[in-house]
Amino acid sequence: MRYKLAVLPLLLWLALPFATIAARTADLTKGANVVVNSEETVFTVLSPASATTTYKVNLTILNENGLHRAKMYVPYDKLSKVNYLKGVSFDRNGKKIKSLKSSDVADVSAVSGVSLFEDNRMKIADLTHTMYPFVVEFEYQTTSSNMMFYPRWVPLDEENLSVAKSVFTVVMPAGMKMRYREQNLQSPVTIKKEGGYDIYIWQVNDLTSFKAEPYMPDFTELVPLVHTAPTTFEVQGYAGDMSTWQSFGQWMNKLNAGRDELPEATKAKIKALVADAKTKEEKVKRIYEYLQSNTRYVSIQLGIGGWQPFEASFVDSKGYGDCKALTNYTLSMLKVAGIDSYYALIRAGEDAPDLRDDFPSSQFNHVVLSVPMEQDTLWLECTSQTEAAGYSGSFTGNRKALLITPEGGKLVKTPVYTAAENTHHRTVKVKLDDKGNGTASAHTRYTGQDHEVYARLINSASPEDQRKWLYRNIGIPAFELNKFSLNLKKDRLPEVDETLELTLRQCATISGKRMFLTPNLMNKWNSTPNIIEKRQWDVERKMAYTEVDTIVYEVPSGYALEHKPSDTEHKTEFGSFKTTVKVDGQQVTYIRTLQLNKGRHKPEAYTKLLDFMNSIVKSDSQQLVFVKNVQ
Amino acid sequence: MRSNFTQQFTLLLFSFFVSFQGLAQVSKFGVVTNDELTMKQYPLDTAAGAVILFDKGYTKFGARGIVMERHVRIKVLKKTGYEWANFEVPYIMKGKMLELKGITYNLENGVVQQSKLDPESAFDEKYYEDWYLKKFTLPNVKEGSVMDVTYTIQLVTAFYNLPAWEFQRTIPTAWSEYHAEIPNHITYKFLMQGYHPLHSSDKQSKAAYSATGTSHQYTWIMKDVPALREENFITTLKDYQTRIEFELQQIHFPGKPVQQVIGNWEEITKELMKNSLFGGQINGKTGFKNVVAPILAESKTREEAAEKIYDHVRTRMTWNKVYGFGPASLTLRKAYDDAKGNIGDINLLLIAMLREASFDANPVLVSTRNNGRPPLSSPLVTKFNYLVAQVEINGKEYLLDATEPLLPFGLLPERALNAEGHLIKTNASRWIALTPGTHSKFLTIEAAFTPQGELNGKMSESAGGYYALELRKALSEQGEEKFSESLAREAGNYKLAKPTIQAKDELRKPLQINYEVSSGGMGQLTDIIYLNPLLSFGKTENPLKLDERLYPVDFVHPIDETIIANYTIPDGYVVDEAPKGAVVSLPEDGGRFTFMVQQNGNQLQVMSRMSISKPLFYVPEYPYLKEFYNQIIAKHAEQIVLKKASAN
Repeated sequence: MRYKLAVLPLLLWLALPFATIAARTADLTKGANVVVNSEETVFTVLSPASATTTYKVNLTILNENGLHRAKMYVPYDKLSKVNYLKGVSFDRNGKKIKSLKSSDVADVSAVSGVSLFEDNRMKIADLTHTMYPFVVEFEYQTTSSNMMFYPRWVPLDEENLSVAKSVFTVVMPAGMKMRYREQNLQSPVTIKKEGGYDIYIWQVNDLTSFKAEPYMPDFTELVPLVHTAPTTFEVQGYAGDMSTWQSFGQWMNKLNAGRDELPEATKAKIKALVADAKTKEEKVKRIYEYLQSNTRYVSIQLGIGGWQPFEASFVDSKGYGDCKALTNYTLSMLKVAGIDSYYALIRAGEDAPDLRDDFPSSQFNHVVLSVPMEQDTLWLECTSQTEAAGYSGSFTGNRKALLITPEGGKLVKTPVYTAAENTHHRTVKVKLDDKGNGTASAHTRYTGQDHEVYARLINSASPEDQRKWLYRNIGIPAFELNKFSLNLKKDRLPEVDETLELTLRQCATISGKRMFLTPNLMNKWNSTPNIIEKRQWDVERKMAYTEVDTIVYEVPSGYALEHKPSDTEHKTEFGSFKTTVKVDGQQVTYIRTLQLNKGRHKPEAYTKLLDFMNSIVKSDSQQLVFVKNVQ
Repeated sequence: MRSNFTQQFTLLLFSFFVSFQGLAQVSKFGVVTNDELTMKQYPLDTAAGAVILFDKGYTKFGARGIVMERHVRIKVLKKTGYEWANFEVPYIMKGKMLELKGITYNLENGVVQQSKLDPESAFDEKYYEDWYLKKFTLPNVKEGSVMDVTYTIQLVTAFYNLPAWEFQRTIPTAWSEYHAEIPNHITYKFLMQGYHPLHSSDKQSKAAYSATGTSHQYTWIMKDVPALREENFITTLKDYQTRIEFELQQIHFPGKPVQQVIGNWEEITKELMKNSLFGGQINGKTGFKNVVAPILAESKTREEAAEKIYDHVRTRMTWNKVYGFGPASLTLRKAYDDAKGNIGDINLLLIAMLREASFDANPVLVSTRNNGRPPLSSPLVTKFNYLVAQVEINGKEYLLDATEPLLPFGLLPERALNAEGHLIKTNASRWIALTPGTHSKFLTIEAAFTPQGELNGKMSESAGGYYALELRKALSEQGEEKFSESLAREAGNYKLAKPTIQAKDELRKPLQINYEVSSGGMGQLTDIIYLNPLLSFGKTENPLKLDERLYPVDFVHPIDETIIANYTIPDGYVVDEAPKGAVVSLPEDGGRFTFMVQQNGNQLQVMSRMSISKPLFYVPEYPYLKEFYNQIIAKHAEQIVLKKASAN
């Protein structure tokens, strides 16, 4: 939606001691749609400013689910070119089906839908065939002058794919240092010196296919993987050193240098804007609000591989920019008000894997602004016209960012949101008639990450669309929404207050003389993930939150209680769950508290997680039973 | 159904024009009024993020092609309207977008500020073939901005394709006018669709367009057009949009014979049948005798032979995801040898082989649901993007599509289920209904209770029609191991275990999945057992929640869902309470819900059946349909109570 720097290889961190993946005698076709028979990647660095990649693969496609691998996609842009792309296919008996002609290679724009302009393109070679199995062979070479990125080698790059042999070679001119990070490998690197080059070689054999499981850690943590990165590098005349975060930051400083100049008129406007502000925070908020009402986010990915911001004066005159430009613009305005702030590179996204902080390299896709305050730090998302100052949330919170200080790069943590911050608290009053129909008024306060979807609704949907959204998302089988309100309170921990006035259809079910009431009105869990016989991967829950629902019913008179669910309480390593039901005359009070933690657990814990989840599902379906008094 | 369908969509043919006087709703480029600048909200849609104040297009035929001038003015009211500042204009020939101008107007402290679009900041992106996209964004857009944009584009004349004019967008349009200056030697039919009426239209004679011809200027105007809104259960939003399209009828240069562009279906059929790429491939000798002969030899009946030929094409050929009713390969033989092709290749191949086996098989042109409504009122082949086969066997007609690997004989895929298709058959061309199959689900449960309230038994799920197709697709994508794993689960009190799958590859049979079903004691008093008779398989959510509806509800196909459960009551227990039977019907046999509970000794039988027997429900039927689902949900929530005989 609003992030994106240039294309970057997905990278990740956290090496797990891991050796079971290779089983030499394994049948590589088991569970596979594709078998990589052989694959070779040679990355040859010619100088700090350029390199070639030569790639060759031979793979067998076993069925139609592997058909996508009969296409080869080779991206390129202004800083890279495709020297050649060749391909040939063979049938199951080894007879040649087809050699790729240049007319078979499509050349298309690879611009993402949200972008106004990027120069990314790609070549697509298609050797799709339909009599399975068949073999395809692709070969290509690219030359790049964007040396921020060295390759990442991931032989098992998708599910249902196995690898007989894959080799990765990096050729460096002697004296130019290359850095690497290995993970889950069968054997470490072999290094040799040859003809003025240092040659690094990795190889894997007989990798059986990867099987995904619910709640597993990020895929790229679990498979064999090698990350590489430069020490010294150059992009369009900007030379740098990536061996430390500090030096990487110094390179970013070169790119940004001199781009923070604002016209005098704007400077005067900013000074006037903050003149009577009492505190530093007040000044920052005013400037952030000025940004939000005078600019908008437009994605234009150009310049130094998409890494150099437009000048502040450009944003000032046009009123738009991408994340880099808008962040740099805000930084420039704050500077006019005498406030220091830092450009911060980040890997944004709700499910973004953690930064590999022990391996300085280009792992970012977004830029935010970090403003040091007396006590703490205020983080600003400069691409949003609606976000609260200081709230990072699921997009940029809970992670590390690279602060670009005058001294260079420095890793810092963005705000963390725990089960105490991400909450919903709901109180509902329900009045039921003797048909089981009723009315309900519900008030819910959402905070932290739980507020995000509601804030988006408030900021981007019309009242009519909000109403439709509520109809779709309120978890009650049959109801009418008579009235609603949604109010957003912007703060470092923003809140949304929601009120709903509802008419309920058969909220309680009348069967003959009995009345059945499921007290959990609108927050029911009704399914659990698959049972996995032999769990292989760790169990990871990535979001923490707390929900408290209090529902008070007034049931019609003339009924006596026959059955009441017993109170439940479960405390586990994943979180806790508690329900109580109290009946007092015609009044039933149901309280449900669920707290889930984030955390990582051993594979064996999965059964316990399912048990815990299922006890929630069970409890949520429990009913009270009333019997009509005999007159 | 057909007449109903066209009425509902007000497909109009314009044969007369009301008089028209110049209205001053459109002002010159760069002349912005104070009212436009100070406007805070659009009175007819106060929630709108932006409103098109006016949109004016003027198309004429010039020496170098069709030229279109456009002038659009948009008011930004809220931040949600910012996206309307980004423009993407497709055009042909790089650099031939002329006179692009844009200005953003902002009122700041009572002073009008102008920000001009810098032509340097517009980008050209190669789109496909000769098409380019001109992409630009206007500067300094804020809440309250007025954006004025004008440009001229040239279009290729070779096909005399006049672009459609959209009166309606996803934000409201206060005023939209379109002028087309059309030379008298070119005749178009004007096709207007949508829900919004014209404000006015006009036809005036114009001065000579060239040395040899005269022209007429046509004008269409709409005002106060509401925003186009998305709903679920529709075909494609494009079908509901108010717009005008131009269908080329004939070209008649002075002194030359009339060139009939649009014919009638008989002529189109003749043309298609003569065409070497279409009819030429399926008429006469097809060259597939060696493939068809052995199939015929081993078939006992004509049906069997047709089905075997269908299976052969379906399993051999892979659809390359390219649409189009015409074949992409030079010959069907080549497509057959490559074992892949587009829609036209595969289904014409099927027709060719059926004909080789002496079946009366013919092509049917189809417009897919995403492609929009078929042109029921005009013989217009360009509106079709799909083709299926029709075959008559022993007096029975079948529609066949061999492009889906898991589709059974006689069923059309959902994408092809769009009203009617046109049968292409010499001297017998006609529209035929694309009758859908059913989405059917049949659950049977056999289970017994223990006195502890535990439940143990078996369940089987039988999936037919589109539901079977859906499951077989999932099964094929995930593989049997993973698919089975996803079926075994614990849902609250009930546990489904040991799934086994039957009739996986017998596509004409329902796909069957058998389970063991069990439930632990419910932590309840053992002298009373409460039971939801449909376990967790009843309906709990209404797919139609909103209280009003703009467009017809299109379910694509009929739906049939049945659950039959048999419970054995433990000794010493009696049924204290059971839901009453119920029958709910939709008007005009649109659907029916039946619910029954019967006791026979220690056996308790529960039956629930829901059937929606037609795919399309018009707006006046919506409240009934919604209520129908509400009643099912209420019934499905009811309980059975078993009680120990001795307890009171």
